[in-house]
Amino acid sequence: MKKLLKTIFLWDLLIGLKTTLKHIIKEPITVQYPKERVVLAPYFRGHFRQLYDKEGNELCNACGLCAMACPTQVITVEAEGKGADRKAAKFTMNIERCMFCNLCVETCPKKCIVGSDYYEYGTYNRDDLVLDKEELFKEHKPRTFKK
Amino acid sequence: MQPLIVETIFVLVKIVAVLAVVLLMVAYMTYMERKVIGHMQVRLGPMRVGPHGLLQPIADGLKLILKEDIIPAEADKWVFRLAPVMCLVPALVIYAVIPFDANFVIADINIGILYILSISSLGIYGIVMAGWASNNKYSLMGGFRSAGQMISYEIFLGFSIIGPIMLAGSMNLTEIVKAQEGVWFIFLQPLAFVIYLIAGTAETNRVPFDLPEAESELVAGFHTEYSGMRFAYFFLAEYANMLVVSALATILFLGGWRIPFISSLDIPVAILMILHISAFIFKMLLFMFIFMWLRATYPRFRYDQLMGIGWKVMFPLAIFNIAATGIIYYFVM
Repeated sequence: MKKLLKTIFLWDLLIGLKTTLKHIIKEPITVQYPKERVVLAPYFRGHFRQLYDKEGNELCNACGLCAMACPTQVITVEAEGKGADRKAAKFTMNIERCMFCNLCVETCPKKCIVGSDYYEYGTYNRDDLVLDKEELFKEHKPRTFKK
Repeated sequence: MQPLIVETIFVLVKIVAVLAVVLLMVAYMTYMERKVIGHMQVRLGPMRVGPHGLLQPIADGLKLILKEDIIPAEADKWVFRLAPVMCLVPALVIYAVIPFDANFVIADINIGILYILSISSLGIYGIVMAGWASNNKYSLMGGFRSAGQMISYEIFLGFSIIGPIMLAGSMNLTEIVKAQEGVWFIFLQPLAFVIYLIAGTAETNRVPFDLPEAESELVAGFHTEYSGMRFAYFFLAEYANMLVVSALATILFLGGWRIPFISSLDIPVAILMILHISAFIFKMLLFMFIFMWLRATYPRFRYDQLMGIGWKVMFPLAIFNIAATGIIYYFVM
């Protein structure tokens, strides 16, 4: 009996309509890229950076642990100097091969190589993806668009 | 000046006004549909073209105008060219009898409903011609299915309209609205309203009855081979038909241009006319919203289910409605 009444008054169809109407009141979940960007998690593995310490010197002492830890041989390090003056003469990262596993970040004893929030580094030539020392010290901010 | 010339100019001005407003509404219905369906799916609709996407119909129109006009080699050229026009013109010609206000009709004829039903039957010719002239067996199938569906559901549309006509006592659309001074017919004829809504949805090939033109079914059905402005004609014809069905629904069931308490007040005629026309357009937009609501909610029927529902369920219900109205009317009057 109840089933007959439900069929006559198209009850299920009306419940469907009510559900759709409830959705129209909700705020849309679309993130309008590039005007707005998705909020990233704190440990997001983005582009790499080398850090300075408080006086403006490089923290990296070219120990080579990151180069040894990397599974895909992304990092190459060449050292110069001895003792406390040991610095990296050449420090390159080839992001083409990088899989962003962050093993280099975890093994660094000075915590000088970090990931950042920057993920928009697509380029037109492959050479731009081989980062040398100056690239790594730059801090990248994402471009802002008005619309 | 002679009264005939004044009268002619007056009618021409009314025609231009109505057509301009209708074509503008048809173009912005496409925008409204995308926004409404987007928000029902918890996403935004068009946002980038103009502020909040308001210039999107213009961008669409420009794109369609600039496209290449292709006619298939083996197609029947003149029929191919004539079909979109045959779809759009009947939809627009119906606006000649629709009263937006007591004094604002282009042509106040005594058999308004009959005129509307006969002209909308001409729209079916356009679809069959499009299916035939495309020289494509899938388009032909789509055209046949669409024509069969539209012809069947037009019958039920006509039967559901008979209820309000019996209550109003006239086929003149202005008289029907005036007869709703007491109670709107939607309260006196709920079954006819539901049948009208379902038949109207099937008549304009909308979801859940849009198998003939569904993209994933028969490619695009009868308008597969059309591109550019010709396709735009079919698109405009569909939305113009939807607006006509909405306009007729407000006239027959929702009291046309009447506002519940304000219509009987003593206000200057010009202001009252503006209020009435706005109320009419508001009620039409309400029906358009219902069409889009249905589209966002339901899957589509298979063709045999569609025809089965039509002839096995709606036809008896429509006849029952006419009989019940007649019997109750006889005993009440």
